[in-house]
Amino acid sequence: MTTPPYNPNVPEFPSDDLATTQEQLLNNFRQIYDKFLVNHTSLDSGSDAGIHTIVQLVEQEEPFQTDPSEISIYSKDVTSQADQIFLRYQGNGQEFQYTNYQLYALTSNQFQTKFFSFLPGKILIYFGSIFPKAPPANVLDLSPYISKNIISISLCPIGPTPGYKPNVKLLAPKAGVYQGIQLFSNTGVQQVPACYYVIIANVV
Amino acid sequence: MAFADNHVGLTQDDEFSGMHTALTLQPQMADPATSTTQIAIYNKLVGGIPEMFFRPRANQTPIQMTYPSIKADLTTTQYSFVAGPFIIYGGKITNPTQGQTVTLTPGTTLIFVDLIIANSNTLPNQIAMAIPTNIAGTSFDIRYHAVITSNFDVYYYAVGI
Repeated sequence: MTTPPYNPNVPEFPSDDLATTQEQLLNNFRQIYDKFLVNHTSLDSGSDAGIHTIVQLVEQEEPFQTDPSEISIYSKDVTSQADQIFLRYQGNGQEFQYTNYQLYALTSNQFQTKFFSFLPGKILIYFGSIFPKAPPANVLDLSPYISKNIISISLCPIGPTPGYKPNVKLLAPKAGVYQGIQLFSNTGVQQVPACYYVIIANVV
Repeated sequence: MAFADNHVGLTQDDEFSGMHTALTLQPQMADPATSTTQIAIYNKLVGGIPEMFFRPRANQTPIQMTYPSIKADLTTTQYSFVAGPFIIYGGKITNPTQGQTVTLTPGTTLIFVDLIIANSNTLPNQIAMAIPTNIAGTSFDIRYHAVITSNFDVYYYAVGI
């Protein structure tokens, strides 16, 4: 049997007849117990009572209010992404997206090992290693293709012999999204060296 | 009223009632204790500014998860952070002069700087290199190979603490 819904109007007045309201009072206490149990350790769990078990954040439409000295953590829908975690600084300060996109294993190939993660602020960080061959296999692939602004590029040559760091050229974005960075030899007489790379980009 | 703060209320959607609308964290004077099967996320003031902390199980060393500000947009200079916190700077300088000083904000102490030349008119296959020199605080100078004269970008990637 399900517990009847919580009734905030019981008790309503000090003069309410307990014989009349007792059932609803018991229902209300049961509802409080059951609802508190969601995401929290139960009220009768001894020393751990009140501690969170998990935190489920119901999607919000607007930034959450913060007073001085407070931080708010909440979830909001992001276009082209799933719901993401947002933070807002104290005093209704700056709001930013803390998590970004979704993480999954990329498919590497003989030319490139690929990984990516995110930084707070809708920033993606691509990293891995590239083993360039003759063009077009000298293009560093930026999948997943969601980056709209390249913030920085870092390359570190690797291999059995020292080599010049390549210079680079951004390939023209397609529909506003960058998909690759072309690497060039810095000497003209040697192949583009294998490199570790770190690319930081915006997805805004 | 108190339960409705940060929670879906008792008389609201039964599917979500009891879940959280947000976590509003008020500052803690001390790091909360964690048992061997617990972790804690909380707010602690750093220089009077609230920051989110994570404390691993069994009272291990707390980790600061946020930084007081962030700049992430479509402009050419930006920064974010990773837990520690370490500040991650990135940006693009177009046609820098030889020896140009770049000062990053917010102020930290740089522990890593890397530069790379992009979109140079010397491409392909001519030497086009840049290195950071005189690194101090959040400043560095850009030195690049003299064959380059104009129409190029220098991307920087830096980490500060």
